[in-house]
Amino acid sequence: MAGEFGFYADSGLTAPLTSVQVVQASDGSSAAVERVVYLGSTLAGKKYQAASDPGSASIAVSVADSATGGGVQASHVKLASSQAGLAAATPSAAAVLGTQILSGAGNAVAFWMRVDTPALTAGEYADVSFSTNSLIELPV
Amino acid sequence: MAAVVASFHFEGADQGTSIVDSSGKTWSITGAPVTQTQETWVGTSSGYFPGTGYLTHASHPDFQFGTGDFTIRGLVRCTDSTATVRHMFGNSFAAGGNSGYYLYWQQGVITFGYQTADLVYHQVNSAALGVLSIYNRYYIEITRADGVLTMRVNDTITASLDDVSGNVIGRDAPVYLGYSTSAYGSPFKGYMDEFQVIKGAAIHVTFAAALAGLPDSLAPDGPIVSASLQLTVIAAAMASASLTLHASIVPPGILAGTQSVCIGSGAAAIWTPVVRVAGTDVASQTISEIRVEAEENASRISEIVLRPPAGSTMYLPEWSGKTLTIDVADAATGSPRWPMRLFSGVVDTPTLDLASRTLSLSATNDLQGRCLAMTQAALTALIGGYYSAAVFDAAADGWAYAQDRLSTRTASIDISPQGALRVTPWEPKAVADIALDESLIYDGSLSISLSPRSALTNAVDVNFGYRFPRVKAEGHGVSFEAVNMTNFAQYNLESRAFLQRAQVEAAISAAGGTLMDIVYTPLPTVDVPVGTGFWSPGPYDDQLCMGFTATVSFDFAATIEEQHQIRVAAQNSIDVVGLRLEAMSGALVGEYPDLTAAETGIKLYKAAVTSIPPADVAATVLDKTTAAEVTLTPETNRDAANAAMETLIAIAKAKIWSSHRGNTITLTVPLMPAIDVDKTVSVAADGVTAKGKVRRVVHIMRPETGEAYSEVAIALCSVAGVGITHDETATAAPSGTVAGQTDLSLSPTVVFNSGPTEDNAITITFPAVAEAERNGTAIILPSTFDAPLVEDVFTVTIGS
Repeated sequence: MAGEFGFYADSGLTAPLTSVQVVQASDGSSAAVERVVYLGSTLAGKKYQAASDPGSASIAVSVADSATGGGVQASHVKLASSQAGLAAATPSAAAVLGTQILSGAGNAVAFWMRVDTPALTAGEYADVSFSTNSLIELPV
Repeated sequence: MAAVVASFHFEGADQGTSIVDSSGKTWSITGAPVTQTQETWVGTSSGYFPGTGYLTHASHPDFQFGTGDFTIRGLVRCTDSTATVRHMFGNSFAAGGNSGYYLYWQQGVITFGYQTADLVYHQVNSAALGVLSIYNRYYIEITRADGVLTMRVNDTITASLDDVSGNVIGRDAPVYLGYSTSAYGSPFKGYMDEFQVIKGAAIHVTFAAALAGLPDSLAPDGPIVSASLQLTVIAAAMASASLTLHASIVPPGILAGTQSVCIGSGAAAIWTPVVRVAGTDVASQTISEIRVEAEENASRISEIVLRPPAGSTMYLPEWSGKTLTIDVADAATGSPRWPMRLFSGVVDTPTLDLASRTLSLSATNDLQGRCLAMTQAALTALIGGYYSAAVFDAAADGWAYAQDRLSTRTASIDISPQGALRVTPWEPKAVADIALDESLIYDGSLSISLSPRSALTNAVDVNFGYRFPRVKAEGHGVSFEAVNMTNFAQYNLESRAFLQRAQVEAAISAAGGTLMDIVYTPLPTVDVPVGTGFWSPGPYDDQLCMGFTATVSFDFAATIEEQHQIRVAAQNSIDVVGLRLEAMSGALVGEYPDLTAAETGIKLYKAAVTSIPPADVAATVLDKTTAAEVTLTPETNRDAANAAMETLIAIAKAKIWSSHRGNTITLTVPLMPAIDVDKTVSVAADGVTAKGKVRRVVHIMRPETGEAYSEVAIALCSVAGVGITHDETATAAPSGTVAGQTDLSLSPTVVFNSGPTEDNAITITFPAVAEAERNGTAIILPSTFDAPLVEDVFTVTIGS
């Protein structure tokens, strides 16, 4: 059941996330918002590897913009495997999280996002999303 | 390449007319040779030739052996005992030296032969076995190998020719099974099975192997190898995860708190709650009040009341655990915009009121549960602070562990409206996040409550006892002179006994000491006049002595007890309100393996009885008692004791600060989602000027009446007034005692009974180890630490 694998708000994997909400000022004046998200599975005895080359290819979280050209864009987002890495991260680049994620709360992998929008028309934008590459679920 | 060029297994139905060559060749059948099941040797049937039938194959190179090796073999039983030549296999033999070959049975003798161009017959036969019986089956094997033609019958070589090298055997003419040519005999009469022709190799197998069935192909020249590879296909579930970024881009004033969707500008604000349960918008079902309450170190809770549509069916238990999000949004355009999150959590308790047909939902973001699910490492990374297993319960679960660590910090923990776990320092920011003034604060809502003196703590006495062992060594010097050269003659005239060296060492050992080193004064090595005669050296003088000087060690374990009396205090607060004292205590006992065994080990090592050094040993220094630290367990050594004291000091500092931020300003403003427990809020209204961290906020929305407001409680740390600096002494464990040295005050005594009528025994008596050295009184170690406080802005000007 791959459904237990996903993004969570906490390292204990008790609060699943399907969306992350941030608030930014329409004049671009607000500070960047940084958020930590955890990737993991609550199943027991599983491991997750990249389907393209299990155990060798990296697991990555990438940013996608379904409505490019306006509004909140992927380039307004930085991803990194650590908070300290956000400063040097390339906007819209994927965060690489290693080649394997073990299931269980203690093995959840954290990644950080920083959202910093320029001046934009006030409104709600939901065209930017994050997703992992295709993974396979294997027994440990 | 050698190959089986004809192979007949004669497998078929009884009286079957289909006779198959397994090599793939197609033979024509003349007459009625059949497969039959009455007499079988290999498989389920064998072949029967009635004496009038045979098989024919057109000329084929496979049967023209040239000068190379070949094998003709098979199982046969001829049933004709007459002189008739019964051909079993032939290559159209005809006289004239054309190398056609023949294989026939005649009167119990099997013959194979051919004629070379010089008209010489070259034959081998079975005559050496005598007359073969028409009632027995025989395994015939004719081979030419490296120029030697051999016939075997039932594994016995009956004949061989070694002059056939270079002879061409076989002609370009048809081949017959069960015949040759009519001029030279008759078709075979009898039974046949496993008949084969091999061109290119002389293969010998036993009769028994033939009865097991002959293979249709030759074994390769090399070893048979194989490899296998297991293909494992794992049908693995695919996994992926996706997350949507909901970005609310709002006017900057909303973020800054200078405006709210609930604050009208010129006209009344138009706002709407956005309430989603499990992702479904239920705002239209909400009635009464929507309440969100956030407080330091507590779960954020929310209460809403829904009136589900009439006729709707619900399963109450499934409401528990459903996600609940609450936003407040501007609705001036008719649709929600600029939503600001107030709550993210899960439904904890659904309550159905059947009379009013309402469903009340109490929800929480479950701060305790979130911490409970986290590892200690994750909580440590989030909270930091100090920790000691000697102070806290090492088995504490996530929430208790989080609280333990928080108790050493001047900070609070909560979960943001967006669901992120965060730790916020108590100390307000230098610049307030949100500024509130009379234009925003509801009239009459501003109130101040001060912390009573009795609730203040400005000093904490921490008593920490640390008991642990050390090893010590007393270094005694022992010198004794029984006789010297001045009184040597008289000593001998008095017939006094000389000291035996062994006696000395035994006396030291008997006293419990360990001999570290000894120098003996030897007896004279020359004649010494004694009276009218002489004393002369003897053969045993090396076992005696006139005196000695020795260093003896007494090793023992001692218990040290340190009593750290630590005062953590905010002196400026003491100066204002007087001493408000609390006490805390802690203790740790250093764990060490059996001390008695350790003492014994040291003694044996110093006496060179064992070469295994003890883990800890004190040096033996003459006339000193020398102490040495021992290796305690990591949980109870000096580092652990220091960690415990630092933790207690940090707790004391946090206690002091916490008690001083009990002052509270409460006020009510139009609902401001920006106000939260991680914010610093400044207040300038009604003569009150203050800046502090939000301790508690309650957001209330009443859609039916249009009310939306926030009740805010701001914590203020104040005792001596703004501008007063409360210095801090860095948290560091006070120094403990060190293993040192003390002087020995008493000396050992030596008594030697050297008289002629005495027992000649030597007794060495060492002073006893002082009890104070073994188990000294507790050593008091006082220390003081200044506790920090940051005075918040808090002034009140009474208006006229």
